Amino acid sequence: METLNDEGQWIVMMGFLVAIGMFMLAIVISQAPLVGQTTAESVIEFPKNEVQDLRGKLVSMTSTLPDDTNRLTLQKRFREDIALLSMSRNNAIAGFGIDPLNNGNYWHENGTYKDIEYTYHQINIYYNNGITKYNENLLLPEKIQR
Amino acid sequence: MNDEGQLYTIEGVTAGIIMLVTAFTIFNSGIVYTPGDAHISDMQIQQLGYDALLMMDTPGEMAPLSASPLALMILNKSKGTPDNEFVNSFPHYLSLGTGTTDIVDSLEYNATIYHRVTHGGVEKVQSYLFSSSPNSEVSLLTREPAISVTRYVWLPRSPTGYGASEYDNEKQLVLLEVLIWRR
Repeated sequence: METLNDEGQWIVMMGFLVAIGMFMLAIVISQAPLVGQTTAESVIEFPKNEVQDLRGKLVSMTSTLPDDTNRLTLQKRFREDIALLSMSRNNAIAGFGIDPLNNGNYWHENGTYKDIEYTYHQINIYYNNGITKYNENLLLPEKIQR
Repeated sequence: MNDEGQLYTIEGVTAGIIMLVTAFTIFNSGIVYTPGDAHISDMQIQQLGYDALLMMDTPGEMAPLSASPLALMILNKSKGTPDNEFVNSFPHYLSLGTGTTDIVDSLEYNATIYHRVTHGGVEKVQSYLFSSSPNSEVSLLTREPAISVTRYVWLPRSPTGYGASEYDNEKQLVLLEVLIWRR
């Protein structure tokens, strides 16, 4: 058997290492679309904007309640509009309650909590689209008039 | 140290790695992702749409529950007349200053209003076409899948021209749903 020519082993080995390095880099690059996919899908799936929209509308609504002469009508309209439209178009169960100590359905003068400067009205916001469930207890301060 | 047979060792290790690479390639070839189907541009379009609606739904005055510019656009479009405000401002907001003009200049949209009608004691959801981009019908032929963005809009009354059985004429929330797609 002819003897193996073992010259240039360093050159062979270095070439080999470079080839392995390039292969590893190619694997890293090929992961990029996968990472983008999972990130983008998580962002699309998460109803951040829907929740923020509802939250903003409810805070606006409850800010008008102290001066509103017909609070029950306004709350009822909001609750039923949100429940029906979220269910039919956003596939979500959404709703809210105000002042849980008073059955959660009307604006109680004295609020849920109170300190020497403010009355706090608690708004419970809930949102559930089957994938994401979001509950928030928001305390809306109202300055006590003296 | 006996340094004979190094080339044989390298050859053996090479053969092993080549086999590993082959197995890796075979098992990974079942899933091929390209940036196009990774929903990245979908996510960007969705956020762009939500942001545009948020800006348009911000009331000009500080009082809560005052009608926003978006609400006024809905109110100004009476029954049977075409919308001529949203169709100008919404694409304008979509294409505002991100520099990614290739994406946003090719966007088309179709906006629908969903509202709850309680006339006669029966609750139901009714809808009507609010606005659409001028080329939206043509681009339906070649469009990419549409993204849906929604926003609740506070209306102090119903738009004009609707009967009591079509639209509740009172303070209410309506849902604006906009489909956005690239042509």
